[in-house]
Amino acid sequence: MAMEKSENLKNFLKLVSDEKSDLLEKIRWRIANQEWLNKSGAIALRVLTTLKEKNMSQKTLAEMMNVSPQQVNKIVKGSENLTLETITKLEQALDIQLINIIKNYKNQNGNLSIVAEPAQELVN
Amino acid sequence: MKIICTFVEGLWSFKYDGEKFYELERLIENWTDYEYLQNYYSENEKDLLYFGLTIEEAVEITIQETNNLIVFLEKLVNRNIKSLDSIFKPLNDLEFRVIELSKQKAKRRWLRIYAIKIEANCYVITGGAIKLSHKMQEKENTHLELTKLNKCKNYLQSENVFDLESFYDLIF
Repeated sequence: MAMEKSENLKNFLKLVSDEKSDLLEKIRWRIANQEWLNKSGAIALRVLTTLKEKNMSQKTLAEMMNVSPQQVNKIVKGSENLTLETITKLEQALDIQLINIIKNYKNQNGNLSIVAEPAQELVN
Repeated sequence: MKIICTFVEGLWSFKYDGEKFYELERLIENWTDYEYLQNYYSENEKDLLYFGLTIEEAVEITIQETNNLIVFLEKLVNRNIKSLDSIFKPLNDLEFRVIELSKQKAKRRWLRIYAIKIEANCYVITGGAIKLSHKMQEKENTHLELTKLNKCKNYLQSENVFDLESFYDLIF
C-alpha cells in the first residue's frame, strides 16, 4: 500500500512545473503593511460607493483629479499608499470627506478638549 | 494547465491556461481587491439579504477573512500549524449534501479553497470561491469550481495520479 502511494506521488511530481512564484513575498508584504493597507482599503471602498451613488465613472473621476484612469483604478483596488495630495484631490472631486484629524488640545484648566478637523465646520 | 509549487511543503496549485496567476495566488489577488469584491457583491446583492448585510459590510468582512487566511498561510511556512491533513476537510459532507449545519452557517465562512488530495499531507489546489449559497451547484461560481475539481481529477488520472479520497476544502 505504501509503495502504491509513493508511486502515485512520483507520477504527480513529474507533472509539477519549474515555474516560480513570489506569492510568499506578497503575503509577507501584506502582513507587514496591514495597518496602512486597511486605511487605503477603507478609502477605496468609500470612493467606490460614492462613484456608484453619483453614477460616476472612474474615467470621469480621473479627469476631475487630473490623473490617469490607471491611477484611479489602482486607488479603488485598495492597495495604494496614498499621499495627502491624492486624498485631498479625491475629496474635492467627489465632494466628500475621507480623513478627519483629531486634535487633542489642553485648555487653560489643563483639561483635554478634543477637536475634530475641519475645526471651522464644527464651530459654525 | 500547469501544476505550481506553492511556498508550503506538500501544497501545490493548478495554473490554468491563459491565467496570469496560479489559483491560490489568483484567489488572494481577488479577495484583497476592493473593486473586485464590490463588483462581486453588487452582482450577488440578493444573497446578502439572507445575511442582513450591505455590500460594503460584506466587502469588509471578506477582507478581514482574507487577512486571516494570509496570516494562516504564512504560519504554514514555518510549520507552526499541524499537518496539512488536519487543515483540509473532505467536501462531501459540507458541500454536496442538502444543507450545511446551522453552526457553520452562523460562522459565516465564505471563502473556500478547494483541493484534491494526492496522498497523506499532499494536496493540489484547483480553485476557490466566495460561497454564499449552501450547495456548490446552486451558484454559477461554485458550480464552476466543481467543474474545475472534476477536470483536474480527470487530468491527474490521465497521468496515472489517483486522488486518495475525494475533494477537499481548506479550513482556516
